[in-house]
Amino acid sequence: MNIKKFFLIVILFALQSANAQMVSRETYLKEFEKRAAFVTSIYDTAQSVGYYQAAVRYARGKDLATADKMLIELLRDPRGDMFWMIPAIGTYLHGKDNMSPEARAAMRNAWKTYAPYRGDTENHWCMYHASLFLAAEQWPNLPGSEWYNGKSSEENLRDAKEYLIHWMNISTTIGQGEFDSPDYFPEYAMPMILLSQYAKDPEMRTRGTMMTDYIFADFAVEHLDGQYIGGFSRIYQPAVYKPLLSGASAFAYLYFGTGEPTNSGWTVLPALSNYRLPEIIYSIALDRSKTYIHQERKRVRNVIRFGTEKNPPVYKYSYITKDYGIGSLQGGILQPIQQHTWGVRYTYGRPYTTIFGLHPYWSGTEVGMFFPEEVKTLIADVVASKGTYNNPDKWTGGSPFERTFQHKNTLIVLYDIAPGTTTEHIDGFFPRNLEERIVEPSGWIACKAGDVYIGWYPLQEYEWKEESDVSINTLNDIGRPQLERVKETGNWRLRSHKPQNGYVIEVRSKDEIGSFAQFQAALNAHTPAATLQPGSVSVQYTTLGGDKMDFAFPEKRTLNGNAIDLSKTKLFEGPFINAEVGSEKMTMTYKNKKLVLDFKAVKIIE
Amino acid sequence: MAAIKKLAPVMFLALLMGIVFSAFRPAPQEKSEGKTYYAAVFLNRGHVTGGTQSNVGLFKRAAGDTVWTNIYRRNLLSFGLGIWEGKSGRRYYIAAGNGLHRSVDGTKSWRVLTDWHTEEILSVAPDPIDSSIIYVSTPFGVFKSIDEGRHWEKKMTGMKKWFVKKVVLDVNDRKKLFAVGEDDVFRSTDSGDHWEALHAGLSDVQSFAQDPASPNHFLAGGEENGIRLTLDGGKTWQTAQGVPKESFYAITISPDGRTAYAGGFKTGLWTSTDAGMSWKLLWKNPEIEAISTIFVHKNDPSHLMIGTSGQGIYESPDAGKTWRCDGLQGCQVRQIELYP
Repeated sequence: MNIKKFFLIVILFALQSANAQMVSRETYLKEFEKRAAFVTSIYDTAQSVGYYQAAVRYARGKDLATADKMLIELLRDPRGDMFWMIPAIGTYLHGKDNMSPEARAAMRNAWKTYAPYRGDTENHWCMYHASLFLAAEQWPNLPGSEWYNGKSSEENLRDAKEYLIHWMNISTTIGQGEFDSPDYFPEYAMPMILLSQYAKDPEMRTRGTMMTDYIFADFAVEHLDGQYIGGFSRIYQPAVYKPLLSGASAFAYLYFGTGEPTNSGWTVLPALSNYRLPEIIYSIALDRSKTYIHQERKRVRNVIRFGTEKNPPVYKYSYITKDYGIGSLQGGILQPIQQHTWGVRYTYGRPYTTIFGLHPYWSGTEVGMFFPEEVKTLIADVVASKGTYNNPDKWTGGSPFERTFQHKNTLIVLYDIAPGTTTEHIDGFFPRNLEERIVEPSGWIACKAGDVYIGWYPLQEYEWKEESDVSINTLNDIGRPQLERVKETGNWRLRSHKPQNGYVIEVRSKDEIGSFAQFQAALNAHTPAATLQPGSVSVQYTTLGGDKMDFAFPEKRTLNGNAIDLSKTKLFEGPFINAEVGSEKMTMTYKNKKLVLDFKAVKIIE
Repeated sequence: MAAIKKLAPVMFLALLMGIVFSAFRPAPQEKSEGKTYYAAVFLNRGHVTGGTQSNVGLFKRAAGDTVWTNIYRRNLLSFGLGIWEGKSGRRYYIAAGNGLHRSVDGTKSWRVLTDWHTEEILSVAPDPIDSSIIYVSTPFGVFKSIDEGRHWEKKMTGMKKWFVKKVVLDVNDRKKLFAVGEDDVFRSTDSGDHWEALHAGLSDVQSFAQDPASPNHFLAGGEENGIRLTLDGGKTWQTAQGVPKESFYAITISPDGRTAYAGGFKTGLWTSTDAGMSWKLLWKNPEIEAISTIFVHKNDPSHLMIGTSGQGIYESPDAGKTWRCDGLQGCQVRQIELYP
């Protein structure tokens, strides 16, 4: 090796290391403080009345008279259930030392007279019980007559603690039920961060910190450029096709420094808190110097009927590079209403940084699995709050007639849709800002998004529909994105009406395959063979990487002749995060660093 | 033996007539006439958990008045009601999405009796004698408390599926209970310790009624199953005639046992005067999506009220000949009761 070549290698290595090397802890913390200051910056001067406006004033010791006035006004007529409990107790905990006696009394009185509803989903219960726990600690030894639910401080404390420990146990043994939700990440992060700082019970304080670390690690390992990658339990429109609109992306900005700066209300209390992300977690979130496969096991939300198992398993597979990530769930109904079974997301072309597909299914049976009302009336009940549910053009939701098989950056999706199903078509989302969307003579649709190339091979005939109106982001009265129809043309919908159907997805980056022309050529040399008959839907395909995938709907997956057994999927498995099913223990690894969250021992081991 | 075979149809007919006639015997007079109507409201138009537009919870209207007033928690998704009355006073219960609520001071203050272990409480059945015994049904089975709600025990022995929409006490025997759920009608004869399936021939059972005047006469409705009935305490069941195989969410038999009413999803209100064997459509309003509950006045069986899935309460003073909207428009009303 000559000296010139040696130095070149050294320089390249150094560059790669520099790329992979995270900023120092000191620098990260300084940058975090700047971002936290930005997040809260508009709240301490805003004149609109709100808990966060009061909380920031109290925490900063600024304009306390206004904060008191706001708080007393807000507490005259509390509304919002657990979405009130979190900002209310958060404001109290961050501000009580600066509060007037009147404001403190108003807060105490609110927990006596306003009865928040407990809700019916995991995020509701998490917020409700964490808030109640913290409130019961703040006002101990009070009889039931001093609390909205007639229970004493001790009873509320015990009930809330039991639930929280139960939730942590089940999440760390068979996975979260409302897992990896870009839109519901804040509802878990906020209460856990509050516990980590303010729980007086040392065990619960430690547990709060551990669970915050846990959900951030879960996000970090499937994070790319401010976005959550993979299949999700719940996501709203339009965040499903404008990923940075999700609440998790606001947390990515604050804690990872990625995505786009935002003053999102979801991150105000976290920005005020003393919780700081361990170095290993943001390192995992940011280091994309090496491509990796990450697998997870989660659980289906409580199935109350039409099932044989309360919490069937969810299997996740994600392939993540520095330019893109592609991830999937195994398919089927794994969450009601807002499931995102698979998607490709990439770093190019904000805001439309994704391609995905679905069978836009809905049924009374689906929602009846998870909600106790009568099946026939349930759809109307659901549509009242999730307006897209029974819309055949919707972009979210799982289907019992959909299954996936992913190997690295190749994904096969198959459908065998029963006659008479609410929708008998499948859809694919292709953003308007793709540089190329070319239909090859071989049948492949070759797309170019900067240095990311996506191939989509439809197994049946289809049509293109230009989206003539799509939604913009507005918030409903609990801060959730809701659809507002406006003219915004340009995105493309691939629609196929054949009930026995499917497609093959190939994703490569420029670094992986070279030019777009080379990608096109590779696609054209690899076409799948499919059988598409009712009750017999299968595909045989050799990937661009040379692996042979055989997939027969619903569950027969074979890779290079070896059957895939999804039931062996671990709670977490990959280069960064590992956990066994049932273990209550997560191990994070990054270079020479290691962090273990041991929930059995309630210990963080570095 | 041959003679017995010949007589069998006659004996069966006699038995049947006896049951039917007994079903029509006059009901005993009520101890006291209620003065206030109570309604459990589960949802309203625009409701979302955490939102600001809730108008659910417990409502009441004085008899003779025309306005329903919310008396407990506009955000409490309420499935059902219960009452216990005895020497130690009166206890009101609300079966709600976040637990079982109880008031011992005439609905002025309430306590939540359940904890995080139970999800939605779908119905409540207090023991009529012993106030310490309470049964509730939930999406994960029947639960029983023997200490007035301090502790709860799951009672599912004999049930295969866990979703139990409703638990009710036998009209005569407080040790007997009925539960309806995803796969059948169940009966317990030992205060909930064991359950036997009655093989009603319905899946996803939605409604159940026991004839107050003839305790072996039951009616049950299922999702897209129409109505089934038994006159022999569940030994044999038959399909009701004249009624469509639709989803019947509410079935009631008048206190005097003379008339049965049933309604469900886009069915209208049906009625039967022959123990549920044959039915006719009594009233249909296209604006009503579904009937969730039916109330028949104890002392005036011609006074009917129905709770709907989103159109509030309708009332008829004349056994269904004429109807008027009684309020709570936009609300899903799950149970209506007249309490003292």
